[in-house]
Amino acid sequence: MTAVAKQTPAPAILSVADLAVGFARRDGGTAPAVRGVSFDLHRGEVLALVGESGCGKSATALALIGLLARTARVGGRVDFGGRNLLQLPEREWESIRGRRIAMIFQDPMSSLDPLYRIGDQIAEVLRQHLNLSPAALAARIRELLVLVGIPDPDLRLRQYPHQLSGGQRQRVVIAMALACDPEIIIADEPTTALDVTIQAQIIDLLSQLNRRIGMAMIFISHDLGVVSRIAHRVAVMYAGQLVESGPCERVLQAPAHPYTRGLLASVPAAGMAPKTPLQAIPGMVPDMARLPPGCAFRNRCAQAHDVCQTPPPLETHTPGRAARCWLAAQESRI
Amino acid sequence: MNYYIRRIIVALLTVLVSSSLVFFAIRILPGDPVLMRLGESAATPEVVAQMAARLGMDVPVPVQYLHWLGGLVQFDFGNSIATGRPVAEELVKRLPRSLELMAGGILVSLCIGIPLGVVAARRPDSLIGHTASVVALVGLSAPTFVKGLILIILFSITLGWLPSSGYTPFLQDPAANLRAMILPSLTLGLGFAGVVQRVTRASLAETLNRDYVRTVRAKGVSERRAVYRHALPNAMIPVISVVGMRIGSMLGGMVVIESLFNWPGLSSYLIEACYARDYPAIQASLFIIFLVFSFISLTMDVLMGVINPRRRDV
Ligand SMILES: Nc1ncnc2c1ncn2[C@@H]1O[C@H](COP(=O)(O)OP(=O)(O)O)[C@@H](O)[C@H]1O
Ligand SMILES: [Mg+2]
Repeated sequence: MTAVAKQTPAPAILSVADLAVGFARRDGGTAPAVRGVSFDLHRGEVLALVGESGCGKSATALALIGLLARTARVGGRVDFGGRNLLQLPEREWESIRGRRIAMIFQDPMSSLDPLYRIGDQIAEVLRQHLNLSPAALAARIRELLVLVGIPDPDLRLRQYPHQLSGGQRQRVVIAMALACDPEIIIADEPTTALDVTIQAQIIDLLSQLNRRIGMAMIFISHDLGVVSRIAHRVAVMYAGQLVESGPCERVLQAPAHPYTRGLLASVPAAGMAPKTPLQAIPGMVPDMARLPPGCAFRNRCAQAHDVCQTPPPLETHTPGRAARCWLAAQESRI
Repeated sequence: MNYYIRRIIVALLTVLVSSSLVFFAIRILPGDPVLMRLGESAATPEVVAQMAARLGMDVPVPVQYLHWLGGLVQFDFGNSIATGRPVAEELVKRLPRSLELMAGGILVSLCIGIPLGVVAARRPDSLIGHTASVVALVGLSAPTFVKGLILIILFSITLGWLPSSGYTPFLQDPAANLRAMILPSLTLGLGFAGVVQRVTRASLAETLNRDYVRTVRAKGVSERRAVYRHALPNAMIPVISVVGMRIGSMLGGMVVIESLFNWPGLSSYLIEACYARDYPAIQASLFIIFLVFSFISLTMDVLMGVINPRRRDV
């Protein structure tokens, strides 16, 4: 991986500060989903957002592209292109979505409109943002299908989604995301719904595209094994907060937060060499509306002690690495 | 076997079975067409027997049934007991009038039901959304007769804008024909608009939350385009299938409307035939009505295949 690029402090193209997302409840209250997340995304970088289901990864992603449900309440800042995206009126979003920030969703079986041909669905995003002649449009669609590795593109672009396999449909979704050369692609669990072999192919494709085209990517996954194959940096989320972040290899080699260690232990793949036998983290994902005081991970943590009743801050324990754990802070001081 | 060929065969069988049921049912019901025609007091046994022979009713019912079936395959429905003229002649005249009315009714129900459904689905918690649903509910639940009377009183008697009855052939005077169509079509369509509104609302509320609509929004297209080019066409699939299935419920409305607006269509012919126990006329008009409804629901099926590519492969 390109270790050089990520160590030179390139300016951030996207800067998220104290992002908070809550969903309005029927009783008038708010159910928190994201609780003060901050990170920077740099040019050409793949940042992985990792955590168990329900920890707020998708809510974070959707906030960055302005597609949260209408019941969502958002706070904080998202700086992109000199503007705070969280305050963007809907009309201005239209020139950012698909053009400068694109998104790939989890389930390729349901993310294409069944009533339109593949070619027309790709054409839609190109027509929306670029002023291409019909010939240039057709050429670009074909080029994109080749780029994402779809064999026989001339046939495929005339077909409907149900005539393609899941892996091919995800390639089409990726082609749509790439269509207008966006600066950022957000991929929300792009391989979770796919078979293991297809999963590997799609990861390779995304990784290769990142190296060739150089767009930055926020790659969301619940699987650290998948993340290790593509990400430069990881940010681990738990109960709506970041609990650990840092360069990918280093976090995976020496996780600083017990939650990250737990996630690693539950990775099935070889190569990662989990120290303990394969196991899930004990206990349940907490309800964010009724969190215990102190560290949110406390009731599932084997190393919890008295100090954990005070909420730990997200602290830099080693240059470039941060963790939200009293232990990490102690260890680095020794 | 091809899906549509199978579908057509099933439809034809259904029409045949229901028409046959009608054939036997009307003969079980009280009332003898021969006696009704002659007048009970004047009828001597010889006259009755003579009349029955002329009407082909002197043979056992199963034989009558075979005669009827034999005529059916040649589109010969026999002669009316009441007038003595061929039933087919009358049907050819009246069927287009009823079809015109039905087309008007469907048009009205789609033009009212779909927009109200869209409004209610897009703004489920707003005043306008609730209003749309309430309006549709009133249209759905008020009796056809009451809706018709209200429209007549309002537009015909009070405002004097539209005729309350009568029929002018389209070829004779298109404008008069269409003017006379408006009130009956509205009355017929309003009830069905309620059905269309409810299905559209439920179906669109669902497709608006589908992943592919989110994908479309992520492309940066306008919300309008996401709704009208993607969510709504997908939402129309169940609407079409419900319209196809529930179209038969329009029949009841047709009967009321043709008599309320003095519309000389098939339903009013059927009513007259029932009063006269005019067996051939009853059988023939119901046969045609069954055929028309089967044909409409078949058309809806084909239409589904046209908008839904997944259906083309079955
Ligand atoms: N549209 C919504 N309405 C209400 N709650 C939601 C909605 N979307 C997500 N949530 C809640 O927000 C939390 C975070 O969800 P999400 O971001 O989808 O998690 P992840 O993607 O990490 O699995 C969960 O508790 C989930 O139930
Ligand atoms: Mg998610």
